[in-house]
Amino acid sequence: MKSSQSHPPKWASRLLKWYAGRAHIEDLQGDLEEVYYDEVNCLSPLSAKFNYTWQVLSLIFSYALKKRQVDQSYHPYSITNNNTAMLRNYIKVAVRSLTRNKFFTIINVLGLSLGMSVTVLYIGFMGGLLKFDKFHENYDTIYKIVSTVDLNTEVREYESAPASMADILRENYAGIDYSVKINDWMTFETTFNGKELPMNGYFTESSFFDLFSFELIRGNPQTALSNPYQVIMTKSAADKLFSGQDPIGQLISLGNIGEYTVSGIMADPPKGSHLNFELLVSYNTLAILRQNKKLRQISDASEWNTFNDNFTHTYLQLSDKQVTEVELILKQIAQEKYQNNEDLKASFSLLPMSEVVLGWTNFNNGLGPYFGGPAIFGFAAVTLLILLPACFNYSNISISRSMKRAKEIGIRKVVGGHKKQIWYQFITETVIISLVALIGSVGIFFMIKDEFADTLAGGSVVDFEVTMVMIIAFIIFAIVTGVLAGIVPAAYFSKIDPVTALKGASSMKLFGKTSFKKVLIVAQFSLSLFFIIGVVVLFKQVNYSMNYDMGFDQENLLDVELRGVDTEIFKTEFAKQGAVTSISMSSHVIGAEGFSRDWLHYPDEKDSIQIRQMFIDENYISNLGLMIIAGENFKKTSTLKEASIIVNESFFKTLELTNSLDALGETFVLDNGETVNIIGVVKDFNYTLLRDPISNFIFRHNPAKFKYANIKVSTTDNFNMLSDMEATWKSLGQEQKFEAKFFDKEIEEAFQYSNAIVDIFSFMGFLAITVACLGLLGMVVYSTETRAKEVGIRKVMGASTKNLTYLLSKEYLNMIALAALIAIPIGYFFFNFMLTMQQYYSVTVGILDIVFSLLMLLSIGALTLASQTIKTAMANPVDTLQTE
Amino acid sequence: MKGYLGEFEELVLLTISMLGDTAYGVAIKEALEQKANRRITVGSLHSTITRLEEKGLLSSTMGEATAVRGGRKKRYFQLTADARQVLQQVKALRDDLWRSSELGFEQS
Repeated sequence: MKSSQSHPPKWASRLLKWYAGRAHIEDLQGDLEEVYYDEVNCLSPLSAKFNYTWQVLSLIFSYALKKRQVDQSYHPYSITNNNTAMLRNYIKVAVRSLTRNKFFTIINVLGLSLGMSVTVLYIGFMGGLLKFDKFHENYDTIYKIVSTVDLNTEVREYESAPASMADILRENYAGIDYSVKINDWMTFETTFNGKELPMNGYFTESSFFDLFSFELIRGNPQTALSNPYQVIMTKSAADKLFSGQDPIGQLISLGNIGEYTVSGIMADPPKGSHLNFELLVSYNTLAILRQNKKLRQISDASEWNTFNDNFTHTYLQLSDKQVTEVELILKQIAQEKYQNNEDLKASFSLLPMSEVVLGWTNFNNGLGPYFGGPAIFGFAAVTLLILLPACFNYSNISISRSMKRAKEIGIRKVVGGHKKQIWYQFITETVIISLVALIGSVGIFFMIKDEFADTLAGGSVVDFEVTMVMIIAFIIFAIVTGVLAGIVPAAYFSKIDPVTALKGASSMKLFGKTSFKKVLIVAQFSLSLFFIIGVVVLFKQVNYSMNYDMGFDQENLLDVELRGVDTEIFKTEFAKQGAVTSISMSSHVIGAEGFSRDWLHYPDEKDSIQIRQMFIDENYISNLGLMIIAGENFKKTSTLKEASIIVNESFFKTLELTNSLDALGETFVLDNGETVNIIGVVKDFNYTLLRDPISNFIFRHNPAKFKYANIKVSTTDNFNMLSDMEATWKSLGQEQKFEAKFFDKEIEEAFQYSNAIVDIFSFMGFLAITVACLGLLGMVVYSTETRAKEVGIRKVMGASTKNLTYLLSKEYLNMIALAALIAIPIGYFFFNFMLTMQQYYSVTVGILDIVFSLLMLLSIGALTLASQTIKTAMANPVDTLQTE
Repeated sequence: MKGYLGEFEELVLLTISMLGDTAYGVAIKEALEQKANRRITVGSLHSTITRLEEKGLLSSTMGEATAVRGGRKKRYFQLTADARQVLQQVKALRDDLWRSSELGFEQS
């Protein structure tokens, strides 16, 4: 009886029950038992028992049991497929928690807004760049012929190509749909009925309107540019010039290149076009002008050898198949043209429209602005440098406030909140904050975008208009930032153990000893100090350069471009003016352009000495206040002027002579074979405006090389003087514009670049320090809040407010000190390097600069600290201690 | 097709549909063992069933208690609409492959 009434082995059943724990396994147990009783009927009890054990083990190791155990550890309703309900809950809880802690919410939003603003600017800017030229219907099939010129010494890339290139292609290759030549000329004074306006434009052909999607409002695109002396004006240019009259058929005159009939009016080139112009003149006018020598443009004969002054741009419309064919033809043309040329080899290639503005190569002779690869990546790096600290800050502040929220999380977990759900909760909170911060960032973006565009060369044509795509990009960016900033706190909070969290917040261990947040604060203050040092020393450098004694006078000197006017006539006419003291002539303006290198050597020696040279007349040295320390100046009457040179002190030192008088009379042979004599030595002066060390320099006298007149003036009424001079200029029969600049202004302009860097560093420094201080503020508020009771007790025991303030601030002051220890050496070496890179004669980072920067950082940091710690230290202990 | 369906998963689904209203653990196990002529452990069967439930191909209800199970309830399984669709797709694919294979398509 007993044997037939056999039971499954108890220990196996117990093992299963014990292993399953709280998981529901009733049906599984039932299955097992049923199998057992089935088997007992046909097998021996022993093998049935063995089988039962086997089945139990198979269940214990099965996924079925594991899954049931996991499910059991949560409340049955805690897993739901209704995601929108959960999301609504996340958002509701997030909004509640954010509004409850207004102070921290504001700090976080502010910090993220600033941090994100640079990235928003970057996205906006990139959006504008990616749109560039896309309005052309043929955007994908337009190519530009570009030239790579190998001058043996260096390789140069030009966006222009020889003018006859298009003609050769048209003759030899029939398949091209449209090609267009554009000759980019300077600005001309455009006159109509006595009204004069400067306008810029291109010489181009009728196919311009076939290839590009510019809209011709009036006129026939086929004929508007087919005859010489025809001009098409843009709408706004025509409105300005004609003010209401019908422009079609009117005659306008352009500079000194003749009269033109207006044959069409076109819509203005939209923003985001690399072609920008106000006038289009028929291309065949160019040949006539060249014949009449009205336009100084290179001839067809030299266009294959001269690339610097070639302004012809060739655009083609090609299918993919044609691209390879045309490239082959271009190769053949280059081979044919340069096979016998030793000095110069050029090759031509096709550049897609998309790479004109955004490509990797920054071409010479570019027609429009260039914002290529390297600049864009540099900008991206800077963006991250500001964005990441802001994200860190958020993490910091959130985690340091975890005690306040630990109870909430504990309760959530106890009533069945998943780890994953807590995680989502915190991510949702951060994303909401970052979306709110996005509004602030976009506000900042609108404030700074125009200024930003202005500081960039060609930035004004970038289309910053906010499109739907851009708005979506902004929102995606905000969400990504939210997730990025929230991921650390979310991971941290979701791991909180509910038991410790509920037992008492104080028993929770927040961080390890060298905590992450401290590292972050230190890193941020280091970065801030780095930028402050940068601003201080760069500012010092600019000041130093402006006040540096370059060895020549800058005051009251007016540089006038001669533009081919005879020097003697110029002198006599301008000398008549009252304000003019003296006039000299020169081939260069110091600082405005570089000097070409040249070589000379002793007649009997092979070794050459490298020199820089400049051509001047006899008045130049006195006009600039240069000092002759030996020998004499060029003499007006001397016939030997052309064979004489005046050298600088460095040159005479290179000769290794002991007495400067010994240098006089030395004879040298120039590279072109001319023999010259030293007649004088001048004191060293800074001809490269501090950029490079002063080296060998010689003055020569050759009126043919003069390009500028340097007029020494003595007047305070600059306006009248300049208009008088302009009248004199006109009386010389000159139709070109009178270009005059004050020498000191020109030198100032040369240093403008440094000013721009100072501006950028100031802005970055401001962002970095604000973000750092917000981070610090968050931490201090937390620590003063949690230590309020301690402070109260200390106060009751007799501690002074001063002591308590120090006690609360000590930790943070130490962190700032550590930041200084890191940033000072890095800043010192980096900026010393940068300053000398910028110019040879430079300032060095001094102790005073560092002390000043440090004081600035300390005062800003201390102010942030004091705003919180003093309040806590002064609080009445009765208030802080009575509540419990 | 909605997800990947393993060979054993397919067999389990088909068996459950064959058993109709009486598809619970032991019934499925025995039917499968008999038809496929292979030994199956309770653990591996329930693992597969659990995965099929996760995929949304099976749903289950608790049934009545019986003495032979020590008074424990049975859990009955049903195919979902998704499961029917997936099975159809699997079959269609097989048929198609068979038809174009060189083994020849034999209607059985």
